[in-house]
Amino acid sequence: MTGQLLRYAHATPGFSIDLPSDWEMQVDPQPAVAIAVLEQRDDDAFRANLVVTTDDLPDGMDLTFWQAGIEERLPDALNDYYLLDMENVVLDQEPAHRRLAHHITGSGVAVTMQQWSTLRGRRGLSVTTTVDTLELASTAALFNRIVASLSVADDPPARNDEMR
Amino acid sequence: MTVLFDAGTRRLRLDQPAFDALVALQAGVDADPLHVKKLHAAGALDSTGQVRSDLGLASVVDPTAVAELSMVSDAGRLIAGKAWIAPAGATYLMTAPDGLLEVIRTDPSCFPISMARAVGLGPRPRPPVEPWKLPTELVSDLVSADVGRRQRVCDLIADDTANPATQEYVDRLAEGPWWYWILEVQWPAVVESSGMRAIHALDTSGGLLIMSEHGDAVAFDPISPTGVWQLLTMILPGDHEVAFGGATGSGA
Repeated sequence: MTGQLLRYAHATPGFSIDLPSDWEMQVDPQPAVAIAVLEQRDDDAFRANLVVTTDDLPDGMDLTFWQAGIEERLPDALNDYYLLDMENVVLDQEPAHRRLAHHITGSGVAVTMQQWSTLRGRRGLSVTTTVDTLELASTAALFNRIVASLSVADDPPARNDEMR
Repeated sequence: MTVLFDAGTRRLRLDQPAFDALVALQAGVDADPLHVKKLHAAGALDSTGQVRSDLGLASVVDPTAVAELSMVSDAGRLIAGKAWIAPAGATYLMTAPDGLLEVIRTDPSCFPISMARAVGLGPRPRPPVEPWKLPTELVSDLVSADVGRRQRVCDLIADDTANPATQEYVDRLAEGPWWYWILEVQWPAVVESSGMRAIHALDTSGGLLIMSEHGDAVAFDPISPTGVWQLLTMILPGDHEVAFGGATGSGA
């Protein structure tokens, strides 16, 4: 697991975050997915990954209501979904929500998912990390460092994707 | 002797003598013919009289690690389970609600989530409870189904703290409901490993505490469900801790 992190900035939805320099990165791979970053491995085991997604939310929707809706949908979206923990936290000096859950991937791998979500106006932003459950201990500190580095812009920066 | 087997779902429920007979057959040891007949009639044996391979009994006779889970509630309800973990699979023997034993098989990588489900791990409050220590001989009173014994120990703990969250937590312990659970995993010790890891936890609607031995006392420390989950994901032995490869075969 790498220790070197580089700052990455994404113009829309406007955030920057430290990412492992040697992980594979996909920018805007699909609608509402800003980046997907995957661990490089020499074997064919599950690749730990981090995904930043965005949601355009209706007026007046708060963090609690938004997350309650997501929690309702996750058991239908993920195999054998099991919620292990959730809490209110602070992320980039703003209220955020964290959930810890377990599910089985389509290829049968038992994985642990952590998701941090925060709101800026009507824009919701989530960072989701997924790792082979039995490798959680070896990735926890790295993912915590990455998530702690997240900075969300109130207004999108002028320049687009940039790695420094 | 009772054996209930659904071949469609592979759900097997049986009593202890039937399970012992099944393990004996799997190990190639003679079993009581009457038991064998019942196992055969229930469909737990194949046409050649061998234990069905999809029941996971191979892990039971040749495990890399063995786990035991015991849960006791404030009302004295006891739930016990045992699991045999091998690279090819994890096999669990859990007490079913009807008192029979249920044999469940999963991939070994699902051992942590199976245990999390068994103990009902999930979101809990995180009150600012202060850690405390209790003389070891008083722990059995604290987790007793006898309210009077429990109350006396809770009073001692409450008298020793000025922290309102701790006092409130101790009140919950005295009143219930709660579960006290122990998960122990053992494997043959090697130079790099003692061959055992365990988690002792107290679970109330007011949050979780983890218990650990400190000399003649037991320490009670608040822990989040995330913290318990991390312990569960690390409880199986890794490759370096067992003589012939890790319990999951994943190199974890």
